[in-house]
Amino acid sequence: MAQESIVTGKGVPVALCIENVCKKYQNKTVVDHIHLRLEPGVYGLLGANGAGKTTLMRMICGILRPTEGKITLGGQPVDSEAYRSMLGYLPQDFGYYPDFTGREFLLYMAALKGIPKSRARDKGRELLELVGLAEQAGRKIKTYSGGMKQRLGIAQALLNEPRLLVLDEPTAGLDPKERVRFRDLIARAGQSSIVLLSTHIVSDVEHIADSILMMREGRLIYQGKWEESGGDLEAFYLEQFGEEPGQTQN
Amino acid sequence: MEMGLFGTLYLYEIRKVLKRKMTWIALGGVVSVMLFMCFEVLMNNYSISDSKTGESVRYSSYERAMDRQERAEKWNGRLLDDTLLQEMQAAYADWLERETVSDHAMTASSVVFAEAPEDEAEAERQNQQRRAYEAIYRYVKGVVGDEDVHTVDAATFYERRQRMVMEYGEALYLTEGEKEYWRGHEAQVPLTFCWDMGPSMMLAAFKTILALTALMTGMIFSGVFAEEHMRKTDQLVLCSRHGRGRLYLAKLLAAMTLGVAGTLLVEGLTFLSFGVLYGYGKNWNGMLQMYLESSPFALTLGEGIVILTVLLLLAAVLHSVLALVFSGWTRSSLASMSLMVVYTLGTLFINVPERLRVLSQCLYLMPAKLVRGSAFYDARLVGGGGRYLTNWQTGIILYPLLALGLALLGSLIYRRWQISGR
Repeated sequence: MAQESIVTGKGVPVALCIENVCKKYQNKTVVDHIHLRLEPGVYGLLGANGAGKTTLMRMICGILRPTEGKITLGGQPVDSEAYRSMLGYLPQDFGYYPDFTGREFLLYMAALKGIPKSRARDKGRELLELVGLAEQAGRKIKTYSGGMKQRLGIAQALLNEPRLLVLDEPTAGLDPKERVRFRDLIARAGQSSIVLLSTHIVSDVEHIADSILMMREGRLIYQGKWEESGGDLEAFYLEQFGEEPGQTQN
Repeated sequence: MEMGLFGTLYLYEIRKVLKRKMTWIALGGVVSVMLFMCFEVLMNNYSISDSKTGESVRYSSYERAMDRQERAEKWNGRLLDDTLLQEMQAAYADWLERETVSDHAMTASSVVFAEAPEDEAEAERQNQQRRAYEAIYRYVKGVVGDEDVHTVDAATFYERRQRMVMEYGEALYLTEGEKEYWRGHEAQVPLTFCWDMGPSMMLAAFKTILALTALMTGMIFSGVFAEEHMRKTDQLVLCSRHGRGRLYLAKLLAAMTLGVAGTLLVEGLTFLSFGVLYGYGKNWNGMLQMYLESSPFALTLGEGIVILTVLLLLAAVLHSVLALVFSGWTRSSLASMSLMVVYTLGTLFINVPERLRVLSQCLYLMPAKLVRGSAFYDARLVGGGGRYLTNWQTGIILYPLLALGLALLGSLIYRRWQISGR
């Protein structure tokens, strides 16, 4: 219960509204008029490489402007400070400040997220404990392994107890034990926040996602709770993306 | 946002810059170059050949500088009037002037030797007498020229100095209004002689300090946005609550603080070095025109040094902001550093003919042209209708405004920055 309070958003639940969002680069449409309303819960976003998942997530995080359409969270527009204050984001591939220690990095991110220093210290300590980095908190990030960096990334995304948590390939680089621990963390976060999880790993989504969003060529081709369809998610995924069994990761 | 949080962001931005190797390489390099240039005088030699014996005598440049300092010192505080001019002319009466400096002339001076009398003791006495007045001789010659230095009286000397200022004004295409302005701003005459090596070297060093610190600023701040982009950390930063707004301000203030601190350090070490080598004397209230003969500015030496220091620090602020804008615009350390190098060397070496008055004047208001002792020769003014600003007054207003404009442009670029294509 104590851990739950660390990762879940507080206050009245809010909805993420994605209205007719489209992203074009010259003649190429990367995200094609997506219309969605997400309530608190865990959403698994599936799609092959180039399906437009990362572009959609970047637009949801306000770091890429849509060509058309509107995104709001609890009525706040995506380019507002209020929207960003409710957001936690873990990009697929990103770097750190190599000369900062893990603790310094979290305190810096806390300042960026507007968390007062005294609270940031406590919050940082709790999260480092949660992701299993408490003992390495004083070490420089450049000495961390890939998995440790990923865990630190997860910790920073949870710092402000986000109402909307966007995770792009969050389990990449984690070992099986860490992956299980991470799934539990996501499940807890999804109890009161919107968690949008993009991954290639179908089994991750099967275990923790309440709903599935599937993208192909910029379009949303499936949206809903998977149990309702009653089929095999992996088989459906392979069918949609034309892959042979065994090509997906488990 | 509470001030404490902004302070935390500001301190983190300072730490990020200080943790970069490039910062210490740039600062260490610039400080080393500047110190080398200050103390180079201890390593250089020059030689003088005696016209009678033909023998060459070698001195270190430092000995020569100290000798000049010693000979100038004794006249500090004397009025440059008829009495002093006549004393100097008497000392030089029987002497023939010719250029004999052969090696590394630190100043374009001439050394004077006698058509030596038969009596060696008498020759030495005359030599000493002449050398005693060399500082006065040098200054007067700078105004009236080789021919008239032996005959000029005080009234003619000051009239010639005034004419020289006006002739230089003509060459700068001054308007009638500007000429009228300067007629009312001439220094009080007669001038009181004062000259010390330390301030003279410091006035000359500002140009180098400006150029080196501008390059240093470029090297240090070119990575502020570029490295976050290259490392892909900007994705995290830009989607955080204060990542689009106050963070930019924190980065800007951190860069300005470090830019000013680095520049102050380089200037302070230069000032200290010349102080250790030559001392500064007590003549800060002496007229700047004793160092810059044809300057129309009726400023004291102290005022001149303070003005150049203020301009240097404002230029440091401007250059810090410019380097940040380049970094934010190009998102490449190398590209933004190259732009700073092009800007610095371009404004340092490009010259525009004075007849293209507006273009030339704009160029000479740039820091690389304005933050130097010789800027006090530039009589071109900004304004009209009897209300004018001199070049340094314009610089003091212009640099903060330019920095503000650039900061706003940089903010626009930063706020609109999108993460795509990687």
